[in-house]
This record gives sequence, structure tokens and C-alpha cells, in this order.
Amino acid sequence: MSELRQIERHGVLVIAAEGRIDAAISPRLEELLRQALAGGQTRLVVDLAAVTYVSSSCLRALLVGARQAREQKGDLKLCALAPRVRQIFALAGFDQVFELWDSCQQAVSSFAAPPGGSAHTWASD
Amino acid sequence: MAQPLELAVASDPANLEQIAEFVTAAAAALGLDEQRAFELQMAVDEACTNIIQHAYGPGVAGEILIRCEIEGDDLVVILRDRGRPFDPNEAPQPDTTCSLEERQVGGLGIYFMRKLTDRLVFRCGPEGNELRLYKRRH
Repeated sequence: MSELRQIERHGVLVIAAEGRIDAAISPRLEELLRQALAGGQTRLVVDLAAVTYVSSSCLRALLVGARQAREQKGDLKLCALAPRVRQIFALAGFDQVFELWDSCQQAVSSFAAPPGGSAHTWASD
Repeated sequence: MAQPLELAVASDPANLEQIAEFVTAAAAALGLDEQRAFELQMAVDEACTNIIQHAYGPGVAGEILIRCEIEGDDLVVILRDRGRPFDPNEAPQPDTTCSLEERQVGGLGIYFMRKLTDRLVFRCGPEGNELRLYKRRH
């Protein structure tokens, strides 16, 4: 079973996903992100700690969300990728375009860090 | 009891998980290691997603037949459907190196299918479409 939970942490919306995020679940993720962004919540973290698999539909939902968040001067960051999930991100080159954090706490705190601080960010070009 | 090597499901995204479980179990039974089984499962997931979303399209009650076979050194997953024909070999490759802003939203599923299998063979005829996904067993 797959599940998506929303938690607010220090002004950041954390979406904690679980299980397989395939084409059956991704439209829900895309809709959650769309609603959050439409409501002005532009600081987003998707927690992938309990995710065992992501398909291209999930990557697409994250891409659309991140692009919109950055347009609204926010960002969508990801955390706690299991080795298999990280492998899929690397295969698509998505490890180069998203900020990937080891833990949810780090991802949430990174929004408060001043630009150019010690956060290990990935360049988007 | 031997692992069943054929599965028929309705064209519905809700069945993707069942397809993944079937392919993973069949791949293990036919000698693929965990990594190769995972890669094959992912390629099949993307192929079936295409069948559901594009060959049949939303709301169309079609059927997908999935069969696993050994062919020489390869495990072959054969997908059959009666939707619109689509050859993944003819789709353009997405650029996986450009920035987030420049990324194409589509095309990644096909990219994964090609990258995670050794060969894709598509044919269509009066019996419908057949896509064969080849993965070397070792």
C-alpha cells in the first residue's frame, strides 16, 4: 500500500510518502503539491524514507512541483532516499537538479539557512 | 507450487503493484539476481503504464497479458494488449543532463525502459500489440 501524509514543520510542508509511488499514486502527489503551491506554501519537502520505488510518473510530479515552487521563490527538496530510489534518481539525472538531504530535519532546517551557507546543495546547471 | 509465469490484468493503474510483484517473483524464480529483477520490474512498470495511459487511455476497459519466458541467456517479459500501437524504440530520448527548468516533463518512462533492458522488440498485428523486454539473466 502507498500513502501520502502531510505534516507542517517550522513553516515547511513535509509530505511523507510510503511504499511504491507509481502511476497509481503519482497523480495524488502532483495534486497535493499543486494545492500547496496554489495556497502559497512554497517551502516543500518530500520525505522518501519509507518509499521503496518511484516510477517516472513520480519524478514528473516532483519536477512539475519543484519548477512551480522555484517560480514562486520557494523550493521542493527531498530527503532520506533509500539506495534503490537514489539509483533511480541518478539514472534520470535527477540527483543533479534536486536538493537531496539525508534526513527530513536537515531538509526542513535548510530552508532557514542563509544562502551560501554550509548546506550541501546541488547545482541546477 | 511452481511460480506462475503468466498474468492477465485489467488496464488500470491500480494493478501496477500486482504486476510489479508478479514480475519480481517470476524473475527471481527464473534466476535473476535482486538488482536485475528490480531493473526489469521497473522497465515493465513503465511499459505497462504506457499501455494503460496511452495504448488504451483513461477509462478504457482493456486487458494486459504479461508472460515471462526464458530465451537463451535472456529472461523475456512479453506484454500483449489491444490498444493503440506504440513502439518505444521510435520515441525520442530525453536529455537527462539539463537543468530543472529545462527538463522535458515526458519521455522518462521510455528512457528507463531502454536503459534497464538489453533489448525491446515491438510488433503489432491483427492480434494486437506485443512488446518483448529482454534482460540477460547474468
